[in-house]
Amino acid sequence: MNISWRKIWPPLFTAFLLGLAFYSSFLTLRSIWTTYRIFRTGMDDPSVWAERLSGLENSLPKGFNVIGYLSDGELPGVPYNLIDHDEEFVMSQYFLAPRVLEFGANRLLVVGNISSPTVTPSYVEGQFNLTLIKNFGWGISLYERKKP
Amino acid sequence: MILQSILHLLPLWLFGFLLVILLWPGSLRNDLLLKLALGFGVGQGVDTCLYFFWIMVFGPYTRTLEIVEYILCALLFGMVVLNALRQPRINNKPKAPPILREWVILAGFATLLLASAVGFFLLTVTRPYGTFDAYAIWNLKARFMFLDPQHWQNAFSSALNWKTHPDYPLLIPLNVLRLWEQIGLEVPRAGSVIAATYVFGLVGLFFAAFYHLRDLGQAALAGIFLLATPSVLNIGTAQNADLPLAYYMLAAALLLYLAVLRPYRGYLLLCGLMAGLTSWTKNEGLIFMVILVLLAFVVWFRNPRNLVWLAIGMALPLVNVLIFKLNYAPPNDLIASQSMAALASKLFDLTRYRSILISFSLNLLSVGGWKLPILLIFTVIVLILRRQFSPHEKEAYRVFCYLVLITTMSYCGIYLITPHPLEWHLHYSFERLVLQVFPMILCLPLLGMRTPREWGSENHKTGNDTLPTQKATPNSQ
Repeated sequence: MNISWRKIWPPLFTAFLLGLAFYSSFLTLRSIWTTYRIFRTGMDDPSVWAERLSGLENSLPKGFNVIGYLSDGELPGVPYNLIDHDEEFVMSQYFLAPRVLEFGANRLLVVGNISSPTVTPSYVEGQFNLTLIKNFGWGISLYERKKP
Repeated sequence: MILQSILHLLPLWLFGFLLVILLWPGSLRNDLLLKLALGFGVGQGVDTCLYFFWIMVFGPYTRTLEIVEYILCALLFGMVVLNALRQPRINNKPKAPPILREWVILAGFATLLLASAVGFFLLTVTRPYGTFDAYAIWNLKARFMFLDPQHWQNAFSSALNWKTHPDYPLLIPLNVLRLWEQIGLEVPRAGSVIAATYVFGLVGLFFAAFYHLRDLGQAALAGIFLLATPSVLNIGTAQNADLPLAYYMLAAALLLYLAVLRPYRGYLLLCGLMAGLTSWTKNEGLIFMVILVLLAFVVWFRNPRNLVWLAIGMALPLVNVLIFKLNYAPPNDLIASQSMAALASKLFDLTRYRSILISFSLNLLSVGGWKLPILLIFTVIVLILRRQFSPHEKEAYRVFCYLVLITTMSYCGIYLITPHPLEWHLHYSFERLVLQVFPMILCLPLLGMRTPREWGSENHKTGNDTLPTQKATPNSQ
């Protein structure tokens, strides 16, 4: 039998590439399905964070364009995860917009997002010369700068 | 809410479609699919430019802006009708009817498209706000402008943390903001709808371009490979600007390819517009635009009229970018935070080159999230299935290759001068940056290999300009 490789190679290679493509899609869709089954609606980080910040957002007085922001990363000697630190900061910035969040305690109002169980509100008050206004749970609290 | 968002986008798509029809050479009915795929991006892009001017001159969004857009649509429609009546009917070479193997591949593409649409929906449901960049950068700007429209400039305040990149351009934020304003509510689904338009618009553009340049079988193959790239869905649903940028880059590159083949005025104007919109989408787009202009200058320095059409096309988005960058945006964190001496020391640091090269090579091997080195596999197959180009195509292909190569190399330059820790910067952004150029990279093998229709042919010289058959002077259309 006379086999013409010139005619056989193209469909063979294309079939190989298509096989790869469909297998890749299968893996992607399977991973998406797994993610969907685990998380579903309202289980993603920003949705959870929006819920946590809702009390604080409603308590913020008007007229404050820039607010301080303290998290574990700003506390001396407190261990923290850099990824969580960044992620929580930008989520807080998103949900508290149009107010601008500024790292540190140099503003009249300061949002605290401290997850370390060893750090108490009184420690934060003493360390940064602040007064606790309200604790919203989940480590979220609102502080006011002490008047001189 | 999703349907409502789509209804609000329809006038923009119509506007873009009419503009593309008006500029496209040949008859009204030619290349409808490609015109549609380009039209939606033109519509959404140009609208954000007009919207930005509106905000600067008249302040926050009002229904009057919508009325202005409808009037513009009606004007364009009138011009298209007049143009169609005035112009002689020029038809493309009729495409040969599809053969069985093309139908089979097309069926595979349709199945994958459907599965990807379901995958997109499921992934969007699990992350309605997108990922980090979406709420740190793009939707944050839209939220600032939506919640405090009188002080919309605060969205670019230098007081904002650098991670929110207040200097990034506004195509995506204004697209999202427009939907929020029209719906009257700040709904995360709006961002998902915008993301979906660009993901499936990119796939549509890829398919339509290969249908125009090659044939149905190759178009379906191209669509399959793009859809099968894991990062397209994963990053596409993240509501970032990377997929929209990939769309505008691909559109500009393909229009440049067409313009090198035949420098019609319409191709040049649209190429300029799409290149300009890349710079209005993301800062990397500025680099791409400069590279495209330099290449165009090399190609047409003896024919400056072509460069003028390109510049005219670019003008609207470029003016937007300049106004935004000069008047509102704070300095870019890559440049502003370091001195010339620091920059120079980074340029001469060989270890940085090594880290970038290693990361670049690893990313190219697993580009687009593929588990296998897909580009290597493609390279081998193209060497076996390569076709011969016509001389014109060869030149256009060479320009396309240079554009892809220089753009990719320039991305490495960004990392060379980054003030942030190099490993961190490479880890968090290189995959997304490579994805921006991936559709263009994928074009190279797909343009250079034989299509399923040509499998059995002995003569692989398939110069296919698929352009109007009637003689038409370039620049006259």
